[in-house]
Amino acid sequence: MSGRPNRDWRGIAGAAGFVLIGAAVLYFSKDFSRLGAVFPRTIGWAMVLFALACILWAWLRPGAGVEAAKGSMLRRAALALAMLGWALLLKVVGFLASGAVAFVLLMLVANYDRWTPRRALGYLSLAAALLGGMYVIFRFGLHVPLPAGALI
Amino acid sequence: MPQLDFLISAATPFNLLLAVAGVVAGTVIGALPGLTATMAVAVLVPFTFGMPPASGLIALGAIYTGAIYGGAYSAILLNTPGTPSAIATTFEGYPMAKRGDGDLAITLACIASVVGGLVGALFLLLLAPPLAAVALRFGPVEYFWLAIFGLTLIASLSEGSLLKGALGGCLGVILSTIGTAEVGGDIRYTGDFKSLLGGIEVVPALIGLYCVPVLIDMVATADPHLRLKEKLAGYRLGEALRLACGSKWNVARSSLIGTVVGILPGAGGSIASLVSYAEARRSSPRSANFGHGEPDGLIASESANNATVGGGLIPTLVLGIPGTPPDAVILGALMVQGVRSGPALFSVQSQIVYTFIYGLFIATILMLPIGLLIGRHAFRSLIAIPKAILVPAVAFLTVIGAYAVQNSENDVLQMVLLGIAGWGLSRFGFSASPIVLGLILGPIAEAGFVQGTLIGGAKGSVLAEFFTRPISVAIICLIVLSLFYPLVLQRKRLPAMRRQSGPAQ
Repeated sequence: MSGRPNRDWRGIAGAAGFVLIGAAVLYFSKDFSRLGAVFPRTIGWAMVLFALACILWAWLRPGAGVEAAKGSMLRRAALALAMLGWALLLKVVGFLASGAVAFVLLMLVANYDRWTPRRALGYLSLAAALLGGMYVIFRFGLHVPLPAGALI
Repeated sequence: MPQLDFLISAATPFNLLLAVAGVVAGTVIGALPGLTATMAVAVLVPFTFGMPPASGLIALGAIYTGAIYGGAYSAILLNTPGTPSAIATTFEGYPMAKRGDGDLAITLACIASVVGGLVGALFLLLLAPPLAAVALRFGPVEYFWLAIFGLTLIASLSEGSLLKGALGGCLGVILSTIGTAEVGGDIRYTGDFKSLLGGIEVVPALIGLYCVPVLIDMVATADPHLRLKEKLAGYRLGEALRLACGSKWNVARSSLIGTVVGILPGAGGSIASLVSYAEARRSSPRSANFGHGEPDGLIASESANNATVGGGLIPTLVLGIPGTPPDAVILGALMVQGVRSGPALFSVQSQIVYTFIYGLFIATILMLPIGLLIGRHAFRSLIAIPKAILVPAVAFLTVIGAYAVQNSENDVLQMVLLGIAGWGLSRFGFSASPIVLGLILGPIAEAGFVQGTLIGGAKGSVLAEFFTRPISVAIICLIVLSLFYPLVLQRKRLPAMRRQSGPAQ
């Protein structure tokens, strides 16, 4: 039974991406001074060569690549989006407000147990204690000027 | 017996109290991702201004050594180095915790940290002036080769494919060139984003690359974050001591590497732990287990990073050149106290400096009971916390930790974006460690390369500048040895492996 050889297609795709990154590094280095360009240019060339070698290796030596990710991709995406939103809103709405919203969102994303009033109350109390405690430690203990934003 | 007098002055109840408080405060701050040992020392330094100089220094030394050890907690339990010095601790510590040996990993990290810290302090006590003189002979070219030596570690950190590791390393180095160039002042790869002018800060980057992918995968399934082999058996101190004794050469070598790297100004605990980890992997008979929770790797990393505490204080006290970033803060505290660092410090103000060194010994020894106690509670707490609380709490720590480095929202955004990119790259088979290594070593390599080229050009021969200086030649030999020794070893072991597999077939 002969089929398509089992190749590291993800690795090949990733290495192709690195060829593009290397090319971009080389292209944008044209505007730098000689001193500023020599190092990134060297690394850019190295990146292109390694990436091409990686593609060639994966092509000539068939083998399984990385296993597909197990579990819910939807939850993964939700976590990434929540954290991205948190980072973007930190300055705009303030540390406490953005932190509280993100904390609750992440709690919803990470929870696999059935929500009961008791559990919800317990988790929210813990969240409030953690947020408040860390705010006090960083703001007043370590004197970190946390962003205030439009809210708090 | 002046040395005995110094020891007695270091062991007064007040100094002992300061050592305990310093180790506890340092350990807690170091355990929080993003809060480095430098920050721990910097934040707490004002409290020491009203104290006698020796006591103030003991408190700072205790905070420093505690913070370096504290970084191991989050490295082991969350796969996020609490401080950059604990990067290599994640490689074995987290897999150990995942398979149910988190308690053992923490105890082992504590023992290794104590031994490493004591070795560093011993070198500080006995060999400070001559070692500092050697460190002064390191020029840009030597730093360049040292960075290249560090980059050869990619071979050890690449899981599966050396080429993918090399690509990750290149990506890290390219990321390190973003922003304003240190030599020449070019603005590079910022894409007109003002927020990138300062470049990519290492600490938020490594928080993102190590921690965010763990969070992303943590929410994907209902499985518990960490497992336990059996019900909590205690500290597993006996088991950890047996492992540490069985790995005594590894401990000695790693502590020595940590001390030497600590002496080199600007190198620091992260490089020390990575170099020691790689050496442990190369020389271990169980090198195939590395990356899957091998205690030898954890021992190497932790003994090396704590040895940099004593090592880094050598140029700080003898030459007034800080060996590691926290030493710069300690140097500032010395100045505030009216203590002038320099070779004369060990004779003119010997009372202060030797009391401090003995205080550092005491603080390091105290780290054993304190570290074990805090570590056990940290492990128990983390296992008991449900995912619905653990995930947002860790995410919260990553955000606040990334922000606190420079009080910058941009760092938080960079941290999250790099974390998401890191998760994406891992799906293509590219792991985070080579990227982090490139990010850390890139600036050292570039500065050394460009400055070495300029100096060589001015002298008439760039090649002679790079290839004929004695220390450079020694490092080049180490690079060649480290690259080819594993191949030679593999060749030697091949017949034995064939013999073993023969009868089975």
